Amino acid sequence: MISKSETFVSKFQKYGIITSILILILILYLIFPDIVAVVRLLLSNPVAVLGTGLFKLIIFPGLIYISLVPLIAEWVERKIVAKMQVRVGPLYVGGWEGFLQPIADLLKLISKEIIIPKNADKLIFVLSPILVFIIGALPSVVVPYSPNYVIWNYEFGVLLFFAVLGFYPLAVLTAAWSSNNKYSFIGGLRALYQLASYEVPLFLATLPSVMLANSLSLSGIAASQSRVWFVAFAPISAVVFFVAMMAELERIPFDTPEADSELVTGWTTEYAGMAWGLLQFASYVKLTALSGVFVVLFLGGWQGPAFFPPVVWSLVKVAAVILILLLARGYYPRIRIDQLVRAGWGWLIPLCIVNILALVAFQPYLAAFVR
Amino acid sequence: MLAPDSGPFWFLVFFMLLAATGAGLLLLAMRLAPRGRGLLKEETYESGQVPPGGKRVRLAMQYFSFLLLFLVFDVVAMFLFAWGFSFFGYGQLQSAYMVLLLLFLLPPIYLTLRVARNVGV
Repeated sequence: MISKSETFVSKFQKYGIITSILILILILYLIFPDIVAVVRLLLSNPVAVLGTGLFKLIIFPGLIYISLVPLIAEWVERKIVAKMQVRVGPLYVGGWEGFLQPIADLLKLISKEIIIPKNADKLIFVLSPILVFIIGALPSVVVPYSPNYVIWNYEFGVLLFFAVLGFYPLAVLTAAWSSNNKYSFIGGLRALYQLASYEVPLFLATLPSVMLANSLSLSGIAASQSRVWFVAFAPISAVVFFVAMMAELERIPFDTPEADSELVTGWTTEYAGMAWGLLQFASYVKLTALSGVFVVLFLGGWQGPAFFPPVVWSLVKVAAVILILLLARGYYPRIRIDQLVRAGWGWLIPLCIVNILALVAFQPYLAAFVR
Repeated sequence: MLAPDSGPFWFLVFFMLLAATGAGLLLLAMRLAPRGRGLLKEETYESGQVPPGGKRVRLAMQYFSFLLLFLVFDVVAMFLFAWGFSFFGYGQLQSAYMVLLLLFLLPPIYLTLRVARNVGV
């Protein structure tokens, strides 16, 4: 007997493949001149390929980079948390310390069935992982890793970053509601409260950097930290941003939306196989984007002593921030939803305001240090 | 605006590329994975129980007031960015009005938290 879900899956496959091929043809049509240019450069001057828009889009701050970081981060996280809990973690896949485990996970997820519950809102249920993934990955477009390595060097990059990220709770709630499951819905509501509560501190903690740099572009903010990193003038904001970042990523001290001992896996309960994998992928991609923006706002972006090129400094700092974010998983217990909301509104926002007030009070002395 | 090799152009292409990647991964999984037999797998997951009755659940949104507060704060934060963008262009006296606006934000938070505590949320 063929169920409604199976007919839906075959229909979705048919139209999905047609739509994807159309999108790919459109992309190829749009970037065809660039492909021709890159091929010509490869023949004449291969090093110059590193500066082209197509290279940035596909490889370095673009698609390949944001797909590789989650794979590495997942292995590092499992390994480190295992060491902290006196386990060994992944050990066999790939020989040395199981470093190919994420690839094995990816292959496993691709070869698993995506089960669509019969009561779910099927089309939205299948489309919302893609939506979550797009919204999680799109902010990376304005994050600079060096003066050159940024896909879109936008004058209002800070606003674009947080505007795109502002759609994330909506996508999460869509996924939760379309699953039509109690656990998913409770998890989705918690995610909504959490993401909404911590978006305001995240946004307000960005303000000191914008004030000091007199610029809304992320490249401009990074460039104006050539003397002193802004973490020196806005230490409170840096801490608040870091905490709010953890909450936005739904990582361990703030993982109430997917609390696995209360809500199965929260708003991702009904997702299986690659649909779940895509949601997880989206969360790690968002982690990359937010760590990148934290480095740009407070840790000087690509600035550093000249014995390394700027890109290396950016990557080292981003890796350090990601590592600290991952370590938190081994240390802290989960906090309750009311504690979480109270901490967000009652502590983080007043702390942000304190930092802004301090900047206003010391304004005449600050101008000498910046730029 | 959408000139080739400009920022917005790459933004658009990146958006489409992400959509194609996400959809491609899902479609690949649907194509590769074997389909299990039986209708029981399509039941709503309720920790092993067969879900009784109701399709949609209704839940109390206890923290609704915080969502309203979020609306206010997001708008105010946008105004703050308009000011912070040219912070060194103004004197301290002009910035004092912005400080006042910031301080006006604190009583609503205090009130909301207090009401929440009294209600027992």
